[in-house]
Amino acid sequence: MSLRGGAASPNQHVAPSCRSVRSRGRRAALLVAVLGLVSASVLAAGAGAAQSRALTLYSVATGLQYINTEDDRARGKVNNPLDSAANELWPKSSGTGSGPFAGDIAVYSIKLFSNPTLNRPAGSGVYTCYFNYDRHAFCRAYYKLGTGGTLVASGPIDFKSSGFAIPVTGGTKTYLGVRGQVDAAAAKRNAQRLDFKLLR
Amino acid sequence: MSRPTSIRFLFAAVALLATTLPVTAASGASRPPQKLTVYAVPATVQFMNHADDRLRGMSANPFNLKADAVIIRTNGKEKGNGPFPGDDILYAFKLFADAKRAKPIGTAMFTCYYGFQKRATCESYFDLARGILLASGQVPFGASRFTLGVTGGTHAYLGALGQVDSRPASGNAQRFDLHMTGLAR
Repeated sequence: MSLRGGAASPNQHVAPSCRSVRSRGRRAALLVAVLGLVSASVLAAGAGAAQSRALTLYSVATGLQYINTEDDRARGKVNNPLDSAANELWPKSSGTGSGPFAGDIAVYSIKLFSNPTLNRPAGSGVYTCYFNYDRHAFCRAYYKLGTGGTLVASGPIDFKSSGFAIPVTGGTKTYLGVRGQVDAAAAKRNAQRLDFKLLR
Repeated sequence: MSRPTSIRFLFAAVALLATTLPVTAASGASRPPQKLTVYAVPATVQFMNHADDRLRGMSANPFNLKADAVIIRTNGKEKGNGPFPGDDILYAFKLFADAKRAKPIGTAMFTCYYGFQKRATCESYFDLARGILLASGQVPFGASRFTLGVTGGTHAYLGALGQVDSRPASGNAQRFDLHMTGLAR
């Protein structure tokens, strides 16, 4: 038997046992190749797939600045570029009661903690909320985390409710390129529990 | 089929499997792109005139700019009704699933902050039964045809990206085509 590679001559006699061994070897090699390629494919697919990640924080408000734009509303009612049809759509309930009213702004600063007892600081954040109607506001939030990185979220918040869910629109460093959602709910000690569901 | 041919065939099949698998598995990570068309009817419009803030900002600002220079640069002599930089308009819409507006499906709110040349950066949210969808972008004052970028969503729209195409519809309505990609499963 030659130890050199290459196919045996067609006329060369090969014992049945030897043929069986070669056949098994080819099958084994083929199986290894299949498994290798499938594993590589799955790994490659996993690398490109979105991964879900959860993060829970607790926030406590530490500051509030309210911007009352009453004069801008009043001026805008009489001096504006809207046509008559649009001016007829001026909200009828605008400006009565105690507010907040359309166009007003509230800026909140918050401290973040990683536990519900609020003794493990985790960072800080800011909400800037632009009010529209019925105590609803469009809020832009950023959460600057002590571990490095910032999460950015924005969306509508109903100030009549103790909770909200707004989209996470991005992040930096550890959170570079994330999307997702943050669910906020009332927590003990006058805090708010923030459940982040992050996709990358 | 001869043995070498069958082996080549098998390797070809394996190679084909290897090239298709990543696509199949990756598509499992997010749902296929979706399109949702809604018809919007304006419910309220409110203009915020920040003329006093602009005037105050010309004389008192942290940028070491002379008032005259600011006026020339912005061409902001406040003639006419604007909108001028700093003004904003709130548009509230009722949303319907059909052009006949028989089936209400939610609300939308646009807040448009004006810059120069009566162009605004508008931030909008569509409050739908299955979740919130956010979109923002530039909209010239009075334009009914524009495109916004979808920047996120909640619940059924978790992870959404995409764009919103706006065009006029019959009866003072606006048609919004919401194109969504990257939706989480």
